[in-house]
Amino acid sequence: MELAQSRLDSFDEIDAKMSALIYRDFVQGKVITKRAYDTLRSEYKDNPQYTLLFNHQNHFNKLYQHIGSELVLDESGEFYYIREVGDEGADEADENAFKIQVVLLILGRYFSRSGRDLELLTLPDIGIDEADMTALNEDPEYPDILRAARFKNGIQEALDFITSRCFAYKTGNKRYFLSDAGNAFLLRLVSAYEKNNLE
Amino acid sequence: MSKRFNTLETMRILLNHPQVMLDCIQNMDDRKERYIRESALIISVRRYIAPLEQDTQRRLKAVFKTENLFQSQVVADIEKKNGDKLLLFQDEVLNIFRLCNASLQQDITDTKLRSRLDSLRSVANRLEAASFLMSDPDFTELRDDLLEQLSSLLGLVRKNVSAMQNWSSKLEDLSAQSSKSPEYFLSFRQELFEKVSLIYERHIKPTWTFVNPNLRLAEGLNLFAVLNECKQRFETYGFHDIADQIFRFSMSFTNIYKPVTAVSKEVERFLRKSRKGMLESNTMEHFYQQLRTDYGQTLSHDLRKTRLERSLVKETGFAVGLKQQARPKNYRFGDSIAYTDNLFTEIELRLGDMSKNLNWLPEVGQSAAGSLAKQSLQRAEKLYLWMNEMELRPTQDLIAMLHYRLLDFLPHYQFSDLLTASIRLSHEFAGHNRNTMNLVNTNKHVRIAFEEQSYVYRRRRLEAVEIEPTEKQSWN
Repeated sequence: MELAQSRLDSFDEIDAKMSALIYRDFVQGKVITKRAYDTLRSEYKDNPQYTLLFNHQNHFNKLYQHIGSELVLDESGEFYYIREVGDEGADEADENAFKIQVVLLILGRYFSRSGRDLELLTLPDIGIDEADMTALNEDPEYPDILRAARFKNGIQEALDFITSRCFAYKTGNKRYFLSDAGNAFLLRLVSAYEKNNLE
Repeated sequence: MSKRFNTLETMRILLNHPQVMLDCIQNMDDRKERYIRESALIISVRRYIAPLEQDTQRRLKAVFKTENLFQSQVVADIEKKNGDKLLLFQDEVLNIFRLCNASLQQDITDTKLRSRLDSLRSVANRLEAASFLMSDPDFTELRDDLLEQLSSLLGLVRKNVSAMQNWSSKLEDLSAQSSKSPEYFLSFRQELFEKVSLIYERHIKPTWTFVNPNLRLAEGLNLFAVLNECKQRFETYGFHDIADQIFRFSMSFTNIYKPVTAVSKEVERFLRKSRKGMLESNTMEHFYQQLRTDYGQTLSHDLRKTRLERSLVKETGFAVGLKQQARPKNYRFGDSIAYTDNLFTEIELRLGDMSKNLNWLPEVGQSAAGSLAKQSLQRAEKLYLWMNEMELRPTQDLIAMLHYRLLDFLPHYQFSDLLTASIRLSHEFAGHNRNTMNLVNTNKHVRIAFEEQSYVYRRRRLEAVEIEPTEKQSWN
């Protein structure tokens, strides 16, 4: 005889603690990347939060829909974040996206101008060091543009801003490198440019 | 009559002082010529012998005399052109020097390989009609020709491959240079790209296809198929030693395939990388110029325009909508005795507040006379006096507790007034006036929202001091 069984819903399959951690990161304005860098062990590993989101995308889509947000997987597939549904606060949101993009673009441009591949920006043992930060701060243009993008204190503040949102990692005093999310932006620019040039 | 040397002696001296010939060959290759100019040879010899002893100088001068070189058959032919003599050296002589210096290796070109393969094919065709009789000179010559062709081809390919293997360091040098001079970076990269791709397309790739056993050629059999055919023919007629020899040649060619593949891959990766690097550089420049145009607009005469236009966001749509979000407020209902005690104390305290005759802020009309700063100072002053009379309870967050207590009671209440007043209140705690309570300043900052503004303040904790019951007294 079959036992009467209450229907399992998707919430039962998901580790509530992990889900709460994901929520906490999202409301802090962070993105959740596919790979996470462990600064203690100095190595990349798969991000369990991303895996959970990815494996239960339906569940999380609904969950965030119910609390008035939208779960977004970036088109590169590298990271998730949430945004509010509806237009309220869209200005602040665009401001953040813009600030992140300006910082990433300036870093990318600085790197390619100094003859380095953008890939080096994403390597934990290379990335940006103190000499780069000095060079960026002493450039005639970058500090002005950063200021116009509302970074009053120059490149340090800018790097901390993208770090706090997981577009970069900080590996030491004045040492940063881009996360896969940060890199995704530069790659997107490159492919957009390539596509435009081919057409 | 000047001194002459025989061929052996001439070669011995040339090889004892190889630098002269190496320079000349380098010069010849650079000009893409098949001959060495007599004038260039003389200059090279003079430069070389200058620091040497008189005796050696004389000997070298005699050896490098054109007549001597020609007589000793080191030079095969002499041509005259524009008043200069062009010396056509014997290929064997040049090859000995090329062997001594890998960088003088002439790259095998596509055409060269094709002609070699063609001649191998023709040998294979002639074998078809050959008599395979040792007494037939046509056959023995054909056999010797085949083996000679194979050994020279193998030597040629092998020398080239070893030169190719030095390419990786060459590539490194080239790319290191490009990162050193950012101003000429773009043009440099372009030039580098062209150079490398030419060598890759014309030399490395043909060699690679030549020794690739799996490749099918449109114009006929590939190298290994030709070798296999020859081998089978010799086997059929019982020439097993020659068949074996051909088989060993084909094995050697197969062995070359691997290192050439490695070189080919390396160069291909380098080309991709430098192409990628160029693409990246152009991309960054393109979008940065957009950003710069936007920035230029903020410098215009329009005073309101201080922010950058967000055209980048509109174009890429990257991370749009990302922001910090407010977390839901939580109500901490509890059912412990301590919780209900606290609740009742709070209610009592608030009732106490209400029963006091609050001489709150000046009327709006009255206060309008003073400046805003003065007003707020007055309000803070009053608030402080009043707070001094309030009964307080131990709490994790003094400011929040006062805020919520005052919020509903005071008209025109401002959070900033509370902050000002509480700073003064905390001084008082430091002076031990209210010695039943300890005010602890924490390092934690808390957010509080009030009238659509968000305030951040430092949390202050109020703790009850453990005292003897006899000493217990009310604080005021």
